Amino acid sequence: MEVIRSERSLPLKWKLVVLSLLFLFGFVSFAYEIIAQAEAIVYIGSSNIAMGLVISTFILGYLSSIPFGLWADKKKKSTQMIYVFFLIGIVTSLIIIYTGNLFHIASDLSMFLADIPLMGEISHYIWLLITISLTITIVPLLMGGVIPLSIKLLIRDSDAYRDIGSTAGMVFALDSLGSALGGSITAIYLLDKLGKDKLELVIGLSLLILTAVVAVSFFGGMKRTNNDQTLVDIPKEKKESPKKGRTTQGFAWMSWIKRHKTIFIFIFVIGTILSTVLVNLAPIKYGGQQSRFEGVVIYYEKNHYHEIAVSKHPELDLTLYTDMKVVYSQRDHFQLYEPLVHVPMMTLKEPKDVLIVGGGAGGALAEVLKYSSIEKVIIMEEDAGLIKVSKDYFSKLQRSPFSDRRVEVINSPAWMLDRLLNNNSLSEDITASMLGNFDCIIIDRLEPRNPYLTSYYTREFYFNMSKMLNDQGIIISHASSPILKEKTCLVINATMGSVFNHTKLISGDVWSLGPYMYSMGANSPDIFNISQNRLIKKFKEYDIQTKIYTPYNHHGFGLMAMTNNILEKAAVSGIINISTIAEPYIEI
Amino acid sequence: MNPGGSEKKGKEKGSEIRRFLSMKESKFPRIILLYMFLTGLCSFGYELVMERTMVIILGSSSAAMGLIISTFILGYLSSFYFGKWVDKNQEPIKIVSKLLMLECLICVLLVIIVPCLRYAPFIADYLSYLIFFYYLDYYYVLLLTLGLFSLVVPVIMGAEIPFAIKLLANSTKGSIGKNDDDNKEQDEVYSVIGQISGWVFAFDSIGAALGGFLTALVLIPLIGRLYSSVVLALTTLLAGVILLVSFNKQHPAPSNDEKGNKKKNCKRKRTMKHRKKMVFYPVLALIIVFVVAINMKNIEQGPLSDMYGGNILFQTDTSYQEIVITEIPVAGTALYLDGQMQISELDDEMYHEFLVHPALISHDSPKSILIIGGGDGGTLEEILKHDIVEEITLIELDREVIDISQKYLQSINNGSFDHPKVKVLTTDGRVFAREYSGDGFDVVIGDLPDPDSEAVAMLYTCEFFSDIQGLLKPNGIFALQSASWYEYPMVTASIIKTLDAEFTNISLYLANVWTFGPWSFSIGSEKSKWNEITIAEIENRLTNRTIETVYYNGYTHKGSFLLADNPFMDEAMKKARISTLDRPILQNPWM
Repeated sequence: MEVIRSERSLPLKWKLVVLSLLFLFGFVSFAYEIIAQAEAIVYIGSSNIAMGLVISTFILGYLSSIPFGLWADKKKKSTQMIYVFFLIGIVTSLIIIYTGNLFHIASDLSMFLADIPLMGEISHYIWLLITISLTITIVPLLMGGVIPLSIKLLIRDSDAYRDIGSTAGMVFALDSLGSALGGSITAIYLLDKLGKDKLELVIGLSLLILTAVVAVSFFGGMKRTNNDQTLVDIPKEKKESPKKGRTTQGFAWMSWIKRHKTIFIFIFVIGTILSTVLVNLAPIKYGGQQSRFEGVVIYYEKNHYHEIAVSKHPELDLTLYTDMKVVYSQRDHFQLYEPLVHVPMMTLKEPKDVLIVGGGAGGALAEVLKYSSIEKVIIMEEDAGLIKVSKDYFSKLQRSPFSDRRVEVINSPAWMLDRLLNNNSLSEDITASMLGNFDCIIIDRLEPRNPYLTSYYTREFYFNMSKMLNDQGIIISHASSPILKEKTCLVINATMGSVFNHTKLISGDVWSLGPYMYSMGANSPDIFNISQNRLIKKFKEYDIQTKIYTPYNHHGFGLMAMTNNILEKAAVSGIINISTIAEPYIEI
Repeated sequence: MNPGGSEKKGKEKGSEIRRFLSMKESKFPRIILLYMFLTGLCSFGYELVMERTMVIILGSSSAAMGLIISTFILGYLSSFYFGKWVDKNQEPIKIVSKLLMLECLICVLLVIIVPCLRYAPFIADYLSYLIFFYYLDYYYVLLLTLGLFSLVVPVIMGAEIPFAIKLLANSTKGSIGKNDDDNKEQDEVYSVIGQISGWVFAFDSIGAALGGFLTALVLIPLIGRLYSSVVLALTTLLAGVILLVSFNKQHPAPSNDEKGNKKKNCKRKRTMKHRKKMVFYPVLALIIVFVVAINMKNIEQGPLSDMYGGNILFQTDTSYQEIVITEIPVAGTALYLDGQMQISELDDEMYHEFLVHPALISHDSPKSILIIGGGDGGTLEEILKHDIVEEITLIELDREVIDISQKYLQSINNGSFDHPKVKVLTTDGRVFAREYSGDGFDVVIGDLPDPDSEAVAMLYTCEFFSDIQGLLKPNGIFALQSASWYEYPMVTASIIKTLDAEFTNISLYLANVWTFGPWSFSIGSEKSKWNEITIAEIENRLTNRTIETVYYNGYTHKGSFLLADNPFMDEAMKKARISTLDRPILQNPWM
């Protein structure tokens, strides 16, 4: 390395640091290019346009090397240039960490701009392209400063003209080496392995930490001479400052702190940024999903069965979504699950064995476990991921009902139950305990809005379930909203009526879902007309803590369901079909 | 005109003060006071316009008022900094030109901030997941954003008082434009400084009082919230320009006669150049205000359709509230008062049936009915279904709500206002209840907005309920809506408790209104035994009176009363207190 010979230039080790930072920035900028392209495709749709947009904006952004070069020629202090170097690193890392959020904001902004009447002629798509390209440009704009600054830093001596060729060549070579490595590794291995969200975090955080470490050690080793403000290695004997003699011993630490002011400020700034990022890791990670759910998304997963999300909803606090629909929320879960569980359970003489179909959110299970007479609860939830999420995020709220020893989880779909029993794929004692043994079956599934979910609302499914129930048993299922989806309500009730002798609609009222219905079915006669006194006696016996259900309003849930429009529509035959496997009913 | 600095030198201290008070010799001190008056007027007018807009966004007038007042006071703290600046830069021309620039800035900001305030919820939305606001409740992030919005203008306004005091002190000194270090003159300023600051503050407060008054009673009802802000902005600009023009008249540029005096010529050139430059700022501000004023409605419309969930059919500001009619995808036509939805087509049956029928069916023969509120007319329509009813009186504070409902909410009220049995009065419900002297009513129905402002909360107090009792016949029944029992259990519980204090036989009943969420109603009476009615009797009366309903029937009547008995409400009842005129219950998001 011939360039690093002169006395006035940077010490050798800091030249090496600059070179390694150069390599790192090259790596990161091209990794970001790949990430930005992957993000842009989500919003733009076409990979051709996304590719073109990213490449052209990157090249355009690098034009910022002109003002950076001019600045570097004006200001002579190398410390300032290194400051800028670190600043570039930190800002870039923050932008990479927040890439998902920035793209989301860009797409929102384009929507907003297209809505302004004065600019109505420009279509939304054009605005989208503009805002997204502006978002992408930020990183290359910063990175444009790296090359002129590093060239300037590496040849700070009188013989600049002599060294300029080799230095520029080396700088470019290192930068392109880093870029090539960054681009290829990211595109081939990292993006596939980690996914967009995690990759942004990993690259951004590692850049932030690396820059911070280098910067802190740099300021730690830095000394300034008085005559010119360049960086020079000072021999150790010079370290004793003349001030030390003047200050009293008690305040020696004060002068020490004053001398190392920069390093403290830097550590403070870096610490603040790092802690902010680390505290908000989850919301940053799922930045791309923010627009699809209300509130701050802190968990997101898409598996074979469900699209699961947990968000901090502005009104409902912690909320669990499956397939974009609220299934459990911290604030109104009891409104949904108390009528679903307590109305049938209190009607029963002594509930012992309960089957919950679905119910991965754990709301129904928590209510069921309040009964002291319960001996066994079996949950048939095909989605193990949902149960894990509910354990991880909601266990503080409901004391993780899944860890109760009376609970058994079967991770297979309930509509395959007869097949499972025939094939002996379940263990023997479970098979034995299943047939004709349950006091209560709670079907806790979303409304039949897609073909998969309809299989939980067919006559065949109810028939299979009826084989599991004992003579006095009760089955209950969600039945959608009575105002907007009257037909769903009535079809579910009628389908249940085709299998069970007696059915009854009960009405709940849920903050997030609006007025809500459940359909109950049973075979034993007159089971629903339980007397008030018996209910009160049983309620005291079990000593259950509830929020909206009491034995006094037990019959109110049933009465509220009997609105005129439901009764009238139920009376008119022909509207309501029965849902079967051959002709399943799908809610529109 | 000349301030006549040399004359004053010999005069005594007493005459100096008299000169200052009479201000005969120079107009400039009077102009400064006029300027203070105008800016005071603008600052309080602006405060009121901001408050009206914030009420719509926050939905609670007390929250908006508290926020506005505290941020304004906080903003004025900047006078500390401006005071320092003005002591460093003593030259009056510098002070005046700086003031003009600040007024131009205020003028532009005022016009821009008012329509842009509607964007605050969206900004708060972004803030809430971008930075560490994630752990803060959304409501507080919104408050913070609104606070920042309203902080901008008062920070600049903080300059006015120190600047004006300095200018006035300077003009009494009688040596404007000279840097005189005479000790005697400084003492003279010291001797009158109390009066100067007194005058400045007095005119500022007079302006402020008048500004608040005029804006609330004249400007906003006359030209709306948005254009009031334009008027206020132009007044601010005018104040600044008047100050500058008067100052220039007082101190004309040095004449060009003496050709030999190079120094004076140079000074003249400089001042003329400076004055030409000063024309530029007001002109620029005027252009910006003009452009923004033309597009004001458009700027506000952007987030409006999001806030109101659909197309806006009609929007107006009355002296009581902002009325908006929108077309929402599922719920149909809806009425908003001050940003809070009052009723939509989808909720019409559910809400009005459960408000009206339980009371009217429980009464043996409801002949005369009183409705307090209910400007949308849905309540009227339901009452008119009872053919036994002979006379209905409707009291609504705001006549314009009725006019707009008759025009846009036909599907909800079905033209019920034109029915011969109906009598509409536009007065305050409290005044009517106090002054009423008649036979009394069989049923009184309170179809009021939620108690989210002091004005409405007064209609849910003990005193008002006891007035209502005076309106009722011996076996009369009072029914009213009592807010969302789930979202604001404390409000519902306190309404029930207050009702319990005045009536012997009271109850809560719940129904689910689609867009409102879980909703509650209350019923109270002195002697009527409405709670002993059976399902069969209800069905019987419904058929006898030939009433057709969608949701209401004997079963749901009983069901809704049964559901009200739940531990959730019991818990709230324990904490709730009786609402009195002295200390009314307010519905706040932090309850």
